[in-house]
Amino acid sequence: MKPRARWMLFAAACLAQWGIAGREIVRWERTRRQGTLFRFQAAPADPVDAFRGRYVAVRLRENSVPFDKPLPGGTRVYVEPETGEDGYAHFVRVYRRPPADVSTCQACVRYFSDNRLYLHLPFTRYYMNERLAPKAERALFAQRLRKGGPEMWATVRVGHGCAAIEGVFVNGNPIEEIARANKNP
Amino acid sequence: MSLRAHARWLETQFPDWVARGWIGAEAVEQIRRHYAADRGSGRSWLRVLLAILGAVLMGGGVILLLAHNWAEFSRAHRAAIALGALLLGQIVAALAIRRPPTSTGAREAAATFAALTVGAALALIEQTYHVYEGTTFTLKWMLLTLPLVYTHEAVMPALFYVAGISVWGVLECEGAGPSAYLPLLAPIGPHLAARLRRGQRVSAALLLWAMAIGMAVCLSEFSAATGMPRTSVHLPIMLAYLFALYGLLDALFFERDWPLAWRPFKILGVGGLATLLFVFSFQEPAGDLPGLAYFSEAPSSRIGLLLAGVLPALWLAALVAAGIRRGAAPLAFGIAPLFLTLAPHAFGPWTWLGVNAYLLALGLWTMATGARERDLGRVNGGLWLVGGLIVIRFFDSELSFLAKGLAFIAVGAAFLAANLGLAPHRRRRPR
Repeated sequence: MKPRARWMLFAAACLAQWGIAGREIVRWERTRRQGTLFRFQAAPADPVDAFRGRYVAVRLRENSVPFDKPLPGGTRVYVEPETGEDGYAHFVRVYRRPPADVSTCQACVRYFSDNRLYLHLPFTRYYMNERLAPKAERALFAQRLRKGGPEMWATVRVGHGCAAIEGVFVNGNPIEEIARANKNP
Repeated sequence: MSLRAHARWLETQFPDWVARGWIGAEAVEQIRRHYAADRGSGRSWLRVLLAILGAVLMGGGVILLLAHNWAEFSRAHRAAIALGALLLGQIVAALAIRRPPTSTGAREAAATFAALTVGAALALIEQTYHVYEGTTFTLKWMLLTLPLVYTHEAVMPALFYVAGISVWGVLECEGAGPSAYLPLLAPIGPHLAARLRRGQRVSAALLLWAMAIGMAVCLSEFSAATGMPRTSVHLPIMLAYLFALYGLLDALFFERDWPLAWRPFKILGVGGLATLLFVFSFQEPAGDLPGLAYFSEAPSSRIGLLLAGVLPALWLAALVAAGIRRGAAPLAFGIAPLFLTLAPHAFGPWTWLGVNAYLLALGLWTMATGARERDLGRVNGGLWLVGGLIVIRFFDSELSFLAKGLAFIAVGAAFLAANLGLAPHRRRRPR
């Protein structure tokens, strides 16, 4: 490859890298600032990701939406959450394209059963500091043993077809506080 | 004997050769310079490897530092760190482009480090916003590092890309993988072709190994994901077409000049086919062979089209090309998938016997052609096929220990006789 072509390709690659990284930051920052806040019931656990570090895996209780006909597994759809009488978010409608004036997030169809679409949702991880995450898990385990299961939820910003977890709470307290309060090493 | 030992031996011979008038003093100097350069290239490879190792460790260190998750930093700080890591990798990569083309170590190390910093930046953004994009993350990372293969003419990012795309293909086996995997591998083709043209055999062989293994793993996953009722018997037939294609590609492009260890298509192709034939030489697996149902039962999806359409079509094209350019020799193994496809229809319940006969004929033919061409490796390969077949059949037969023992001794004696008989010829073969 000639030096000029090499430099042009390198410049294009650098621009693409900045473009993708910048687009990701803008996209998620916009969701964090402008998205609607919902509260999803959750059940956390603590695994590790080699690239992104430790996280609390958020197993959402709400992972389906009413729908009248089956869609193939893997189909990408947009789902609209709505806060129910219990104070938690429930998915109420499905769209094939994101509507402009409704807070929706993208999801992936897993399967169809009993007039409901079961979904893979994009907000399943809450990344934590590598020292805090195991403490949080131990604290949650201890609470589960004592009280038969604490009330947990995740607050999620939803908007522009994206969704990002903002915080995870246990009996109303942020999970970081629970972890810091845990005296176990 | 090592290159260093050869050079020492040459030094002992030079005075005699000069005295006899076979070569002049100038030729002696040229030979010395040539082999000194070769020994130097060994050291430069070590430098390249150490530089790559350093870059991998540093890039991995950056990723792990960010994975610690510095909770004290705000989102703005984290965005700055992500973009800063990206910039650092780009500066290192730009400095390496400015170096002369001979600085292989610097280019490989810089491109590797830059590729890892791209991953670190993307991972930090996902960590900051508590996002998990799964396979999309891998695909984005790989596509953003692909240009480094060409800007730095570096093999490490190419290996990294092939490995990453193969991981993506496996994870997306029920999604976009079957239709996008081969098109995503294709951009590495020109880089590989350039290395082959320039005679850079070691790096080209590494890439070929990565591609051959990646394709075999991905196509196996795609085959398992088809959801067909008899996946377990469709998978080996798909592998038979793939391994035969590998063997034929090797015969077309690498057979004449390349040492065996640098020919992954030969090793995986012939080794894989032999393994499959041994499996189907047993009665029960052979009874499950799907025959032409392999094509009719394939789903009418992208996976079905790839495995029962594109792959057999590529195999057929390679078979015809190898037959035209290399004669009958590569066809003996090359027709194995056709044999496994048609055998259930031709032999019915005796398919396993047909496979045994084919395997035996293949082994004898390999031994015979090896003996005719004084090729000890090929004779041994044929002996492994025949000997393996005899050993397996004796294990699953009801013969007495006496008969089994005598048969084992006979096979062992054949190995010894062939090797002792051919070894002197092997030493005399011109290199």
